[in-house]
Amino acid sequence: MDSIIQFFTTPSFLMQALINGMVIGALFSLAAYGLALVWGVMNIINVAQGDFVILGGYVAFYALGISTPFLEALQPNFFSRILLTPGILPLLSIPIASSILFVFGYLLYKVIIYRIVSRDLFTSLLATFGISLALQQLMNLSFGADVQFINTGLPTLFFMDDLVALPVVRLFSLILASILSVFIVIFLKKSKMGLAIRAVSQNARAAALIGVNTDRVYAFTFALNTAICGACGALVGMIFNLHPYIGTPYTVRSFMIVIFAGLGNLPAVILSALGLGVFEESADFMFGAELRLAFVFSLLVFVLVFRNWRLSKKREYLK
Amino acid sequence: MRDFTKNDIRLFIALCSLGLVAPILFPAYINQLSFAWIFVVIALSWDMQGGHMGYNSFGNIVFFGVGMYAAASFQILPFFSLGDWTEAGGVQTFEHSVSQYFSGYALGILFAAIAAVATAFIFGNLILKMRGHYFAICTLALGVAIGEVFASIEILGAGQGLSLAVWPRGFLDDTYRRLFFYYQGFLLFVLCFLSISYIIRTRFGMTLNAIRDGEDKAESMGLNTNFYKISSWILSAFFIGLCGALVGHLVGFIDPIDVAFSGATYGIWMIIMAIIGGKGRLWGPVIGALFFHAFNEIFWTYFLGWQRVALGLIIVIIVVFFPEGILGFFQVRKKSSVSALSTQPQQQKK
Amino acid sequence: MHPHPHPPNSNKNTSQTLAKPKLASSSQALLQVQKVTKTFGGVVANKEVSLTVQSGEIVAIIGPNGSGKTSLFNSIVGSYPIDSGSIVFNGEEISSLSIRQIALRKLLRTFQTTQVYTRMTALENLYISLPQNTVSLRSIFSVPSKGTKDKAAGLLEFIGLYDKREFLAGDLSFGQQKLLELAMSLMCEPKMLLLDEPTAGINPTLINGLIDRLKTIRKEFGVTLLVIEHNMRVVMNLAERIYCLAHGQVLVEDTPENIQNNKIVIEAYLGAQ
Repeated sequence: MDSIIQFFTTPSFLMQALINGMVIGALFSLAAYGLALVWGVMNIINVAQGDFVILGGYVAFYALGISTPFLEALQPNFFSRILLTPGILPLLSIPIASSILFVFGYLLYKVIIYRIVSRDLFTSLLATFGISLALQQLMNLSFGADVQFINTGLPTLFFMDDLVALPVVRLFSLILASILSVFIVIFLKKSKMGLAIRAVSQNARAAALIGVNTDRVYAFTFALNTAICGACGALVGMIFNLHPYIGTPYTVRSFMIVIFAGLGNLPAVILSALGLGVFEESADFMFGAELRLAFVFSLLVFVLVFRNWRLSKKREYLK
Repeated sequence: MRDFTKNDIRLFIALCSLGLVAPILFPAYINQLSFAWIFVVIALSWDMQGGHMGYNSFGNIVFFGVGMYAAASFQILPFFSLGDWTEAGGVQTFEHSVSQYFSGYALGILFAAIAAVATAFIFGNLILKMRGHYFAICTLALGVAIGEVFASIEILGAGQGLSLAVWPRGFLDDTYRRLFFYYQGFLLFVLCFLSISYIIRTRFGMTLNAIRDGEDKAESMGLNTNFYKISSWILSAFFIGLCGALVGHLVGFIDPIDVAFSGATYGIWMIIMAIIGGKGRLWGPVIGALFFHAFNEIFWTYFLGWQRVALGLIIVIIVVFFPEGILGFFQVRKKSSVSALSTQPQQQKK
Repeated sequence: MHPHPHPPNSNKNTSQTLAKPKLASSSQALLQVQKVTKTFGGVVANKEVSLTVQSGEIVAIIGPNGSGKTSLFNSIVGSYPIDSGSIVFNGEEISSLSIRQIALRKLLRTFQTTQVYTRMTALENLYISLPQNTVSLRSIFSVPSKGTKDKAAGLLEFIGLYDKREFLAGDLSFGQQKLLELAMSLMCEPKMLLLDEPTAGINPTLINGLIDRLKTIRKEFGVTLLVIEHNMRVVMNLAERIYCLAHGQVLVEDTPENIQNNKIVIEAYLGAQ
């Protein structure tokens, strides 16, 4: 109780929670948008979403881990000097993680996902759950069970008499996440593939009838989602940390954001993601970090029950 | 499918006789055999709503964990302070006498059932009104949430876990301890199988099927679907809670995340076992569980460190290629050969 | 959105002179719908629809596609709350009740696209359709009684599906599923049945038989029928009164003979302005 009062009466705590919440909210919104994309277009709820995020983080981590010593060993020249400026390489690791995850997602689609696209939801839930389980342990086997994080070498800014800390990398990721989401929206609105994706999401059969190659659209959508996860994961690695078994909370958060915002509504996704981020950070301050997972998962149950209760007044239900 | 045919009875009697003599035939494997019955029971119970009712729950592990904790704590509570017990941790400074152990044991089992049923009733009222994937994801989150909550309850050992009362020292030897648990698992199987095989023949069972096939229709015919849904979840919770209690005693130590509320093992196993055998069929979960358990015991050691990879791949392969399970796979083949021979109505049974 | 050129009662004078339209008085009406309005977002499905069905009547609702017939059925049986208006069934206001509570009051409907329990046999479909307000907990947890079995078999016989009694409902043809759905409703001993296009998808050679059965249902089982139907031959043979809906509103209410010659109805169907 004391901590709750303290939280609400201390401006610096509130400020810190708000800033942290915005940053993680921006990250969640990326993963959530990817989830909504796959859900809306392919009618699959990807339980492995969070694990893709973590995988993206590891890819970025190792891309950095390999390239940094390599560049340092080189004769210093113009390029290596630029690349070794703090922040540049980590920044570059984001598109690298993104593209590798794109290929990964494409392959995963070609091997497994295409078989479950037209199947019922339980099949896709279970199948992606299986992928999630396997991926977690595969990451554990290949990357080790230690907690890792990506060191960007960027400084931390302080405000309000040094009581509120804002690492520059968090500011970075907030901006990057915003740019990325704008980019995704423009892509979906303007490009030919984006148009095809939107057409398939509205009516796959009609789209197929007018000559849209739905299989290609699905493959691309799924790969795009994993690419988004890759970028998100790289940022997660820089801001938080990476561990093979911490993917599921990201899935749950994404899902929660999507059901809050509805499918295909990006501004609402971003808003509810920011809200969730701030909420979670505040809860962290008030109830302690060890209850954070319990809080996130209970919140999802609560949100679902609440939404269902609201719908029941219209004699409808969540389905 | 609904009627209990002569063949079913024969098979059941054969299985029961085997169950009765199995510990004498394979004394070295009594524990594994106990787990076999427990797996059959959790698969059968999950199938009550997953298969027959079509509500695919990822959260029945909640009942398992709640039952386990209830059984453990109510065996300790009447005789010792639970706080002191957990503080002592794995070091057994407290010891139950023979009468304390068994009276506490019975109390624990009773409360395991009550706690699981109460949990099912409360959450059933809240979340069984959702459908499809919302229900599935909600139960998934519920399982993790409750696990995390239990992992933060100090008096139950929090994240360190809770050790159960040990078999009273000097009272019979270890073989009897194992037999004691084995026959309980076996009894649980007989009870569970008989009640489910009866229930699916009743109007209750048919209504569960109706909810699976068209809940809106059932409601528009005046059926109180909520009552059926919650009842079936309670039934499922009852048996799974008792299984949790038994597993707690067999393992001897409760870790909140890795044993009691382990969605990645028991939680997903009960689903996958039912699917392997054939969802929504009486014998499906039985066959699936026995098959899965045998596979587990024989091959798991080869996958050391790779178990979850293997499990994940198994899940993917099964749901992608054999969604109807072993029974469904053979039935489809039989059906197509029959229909090739005659045009008589061949689908009298599913 | 569609200001209609012909107000609903513009032809009252013609119809009233031709025959004796049983303009219902509310006192003995079994179902009375008054000024029911239902909108979905901005789309008006029903606007101030009023209709009355007397006990023991067979009334048909006709109207072009999208005229709000099925929406009206949904509103009556309580699929969703209505925006305004009142629905009185058997002397009781039911517009705020849920679909289940209304079903318990013996007002049932069938669906345009059939809804049967596809992975259960035809007989099992009937076993669980017993009237729910009379079943005891004990009978729920027991195997269907002999009485139930006989009743179900008898109904399948009546509807002409006895040969298919052990078939899975999902394996029946669309028309057979429609019949099965009708049998399920009868199993529930309704006071009133709302049938949504009962003859759509039914083999034309069997339609006459179905009309006879529907009349039998009214006569022998005492069930009042409100029927949505597109097949005019069926409507003319079956109904005693007809409501014609267009753009979510009641256009005309009249006897079959008058409706056939009603200019407004013909225009509504052909889309002439």
